Amino acid sequence: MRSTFFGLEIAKRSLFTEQAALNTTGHNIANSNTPGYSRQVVNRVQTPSMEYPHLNKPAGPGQVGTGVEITQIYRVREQFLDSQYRNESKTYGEWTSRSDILGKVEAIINEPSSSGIRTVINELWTSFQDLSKTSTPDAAIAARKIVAQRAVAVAEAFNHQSQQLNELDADITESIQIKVKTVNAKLEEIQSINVRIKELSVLGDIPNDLLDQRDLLVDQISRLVDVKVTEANSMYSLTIGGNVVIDANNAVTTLSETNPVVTGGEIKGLIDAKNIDVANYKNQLDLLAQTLATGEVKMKLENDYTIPNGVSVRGADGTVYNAGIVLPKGTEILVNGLNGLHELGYTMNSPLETGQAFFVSTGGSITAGSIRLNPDMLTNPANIASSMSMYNDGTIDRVVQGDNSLALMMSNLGNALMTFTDASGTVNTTLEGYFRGIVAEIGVRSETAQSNQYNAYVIASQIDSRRMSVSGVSLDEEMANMMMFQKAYAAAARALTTMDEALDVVINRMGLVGR
Amino acid sequence: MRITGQMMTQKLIGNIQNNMTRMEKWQRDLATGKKIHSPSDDPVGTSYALRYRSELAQNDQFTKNVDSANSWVQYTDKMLDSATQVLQRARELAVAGANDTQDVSAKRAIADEIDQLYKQMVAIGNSQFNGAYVFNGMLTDQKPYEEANAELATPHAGVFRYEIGPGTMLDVNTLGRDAFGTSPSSDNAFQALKDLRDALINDSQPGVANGISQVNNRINEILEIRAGIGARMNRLDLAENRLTDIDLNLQTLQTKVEDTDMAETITKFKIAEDVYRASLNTGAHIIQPSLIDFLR
Repeated sequence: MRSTFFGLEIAKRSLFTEQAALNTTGHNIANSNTPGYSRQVVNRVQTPSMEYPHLNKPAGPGQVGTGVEITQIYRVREQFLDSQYRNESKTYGEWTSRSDILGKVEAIINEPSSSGIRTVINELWTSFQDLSKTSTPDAAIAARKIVAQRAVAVAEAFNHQSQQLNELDADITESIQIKVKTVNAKLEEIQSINVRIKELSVLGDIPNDLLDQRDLLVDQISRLVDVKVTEANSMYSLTIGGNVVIDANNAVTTLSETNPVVTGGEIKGLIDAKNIDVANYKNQLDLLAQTLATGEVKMKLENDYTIPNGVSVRGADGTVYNAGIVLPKGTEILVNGLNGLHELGYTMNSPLETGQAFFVSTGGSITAGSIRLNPDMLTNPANIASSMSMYNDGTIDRVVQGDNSLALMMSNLGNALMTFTDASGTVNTTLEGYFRGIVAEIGVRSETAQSNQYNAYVIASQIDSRRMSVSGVSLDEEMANMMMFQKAYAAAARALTTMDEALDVVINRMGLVGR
Repeated sequence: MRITGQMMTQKLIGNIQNNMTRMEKWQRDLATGKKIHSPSDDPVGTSYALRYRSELAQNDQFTKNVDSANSWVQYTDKMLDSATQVLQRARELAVAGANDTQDVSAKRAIADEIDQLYKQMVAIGNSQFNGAYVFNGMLTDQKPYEEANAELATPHAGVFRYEIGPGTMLDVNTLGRDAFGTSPSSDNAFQALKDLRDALINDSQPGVANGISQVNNRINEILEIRAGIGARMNRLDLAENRLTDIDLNLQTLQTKVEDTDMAETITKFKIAEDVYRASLNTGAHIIQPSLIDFLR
């Protein structure tokens, strides 16, 4: 025999269920813009039905329904999309930081412009041309002052770029540290969420909101580093760069701030930008400065040249010629850059003296950071040599000031082929040709980084939008559901009232016969 | 596919961003007139642009060198013209002096004038261009001829050159040795004038005749040198024309690589602008209504 109050029970179950569904809808609407939130759905099932009671046999004509109950409130989410998203987010992060740094390197190069390294080197060559056209002492000093200023400009352009690159390098190092700190902090957070999720899961609960938070944290990390997730016993274990950072026992191994091992993400992009892009450009710039000052080059003598005392000259075939030997005009000789060339000539000073090194270093070997004009030439421009011959005026040896052959040779150094060996191989080209190559290389790298970044962005946002399609809150949908749940709630209440009225008949109006 | 509000908002924001980025690029091209702002805009074009810039600067320098060479050569020519006139005057005087009808005092007067011409010739030999002695080879800071004994002087024999094209050199100076004769030599201009003067003073008929032929020789030598200078001037003219042509070519190439094609870019900008407006407009319509607006 069924209970008299059975109908009340069904109506009550219905009321509770619809109320829970309404609450969940409210929760969904409240979190419709919360990052990482997945919409939640109430899973309702019929409660087990029971036999319909019968007079004759226990097995009735059917079974009677007993109402509804909530088995679960679950979040709608596809794990597969998560791992896809994290994979693309990693690529996007890597190329974002790489293209960002390359953009900064491009700004440092400052080409094409009328003030970059190319321009100042070019102006140095033309100042030698102007020097080659001056034959009187006054004009020659003026032209030498200009040469000195142009050379200072070249050295400063190199120094400035080198300094900017060093600053950029330091900035990158710092920003790697900051990003590693962020990752490490998030790892600790994941660890603590892991603990709470475990505690609740053991009790059979599904902590949807904690799961969302944990996934959001992994999403955030995925942009910075390559992160792989494995789930066991409702806890996440993570690996970064092939190393376990959160293990199955929920122990955290943080990343090293100075030397993090990663294979993707913004941090990887920064490391590559530092170790490849910035480092390469720095080396190339150093090589350029070095080659300008001392790189071996084959030059043709513009005038007959009597080798002065204390100087020896190498022929194109490597033969060494010593002081006193006369090399005829047109002979090819090997010299070590502008310095080697300058040392062949005579300064304007009396008594006669040969030229000193044109460029020197502020310490150590000549690099883009340390190159500078020999200070003696700035204090006394007469120390700049342009002549390759001397004469005896009857008492002492003097420089032939009208001899412009060295000035011509120095101005032509810009057109001479020199050898450059850097990370991408050995090339034989002019100083400017090499510089053009460097600029084009940075340009191509930056262009590639930008297009990779854009592609990764498109793919990542597509996947993200798939994820939002699955997990996002649609207000229209929630509104429709809300109406549906509200109506059901009202109907359940009505059913309860009806039961109540039916019982009222039995309780209050029956058994009044004979009263 | 299920569409949610967040999805639409994010897509809209992304699209508006893309449209703005595109507009910004065209806007920058239009405002600067350049389409290469950094190497990554066009790495190959950048490398060409750098080369054209350098070649243009070099070309400018060569043009300046041609101008300097031209004025130097023209000055030399003018000086040699004066030298020729001096010699011609000396020849006229000598021819008059050779006439036996002239008495000794008249011949002395002629000899005096020839002495003046000699001094004039020394001044020409010592002529300076922008402070440089033009006939003293590379020793441009030293005076080549002394008035007392110019015929004995050995001016410096160094030839200096200017670069008037990539690797193309032009001899700029004319050697005093070639213009006025070597020493000692009978057709040395100074020697010839001195001989003529002495012959007139000594009233030596054969001496005067000999001197006239020496002067004639020298005039012919100078004419030959001036013919050479003329050829050099022609060469400079050609070089200048060539440099102008190259300059024009390079500028055309540079413009093609670096400069914005206005018509094309304005069209692209207009299209981008329309798309941007459309995206804003649809955005305003999409975001607004939802079921909430219709539930009562």
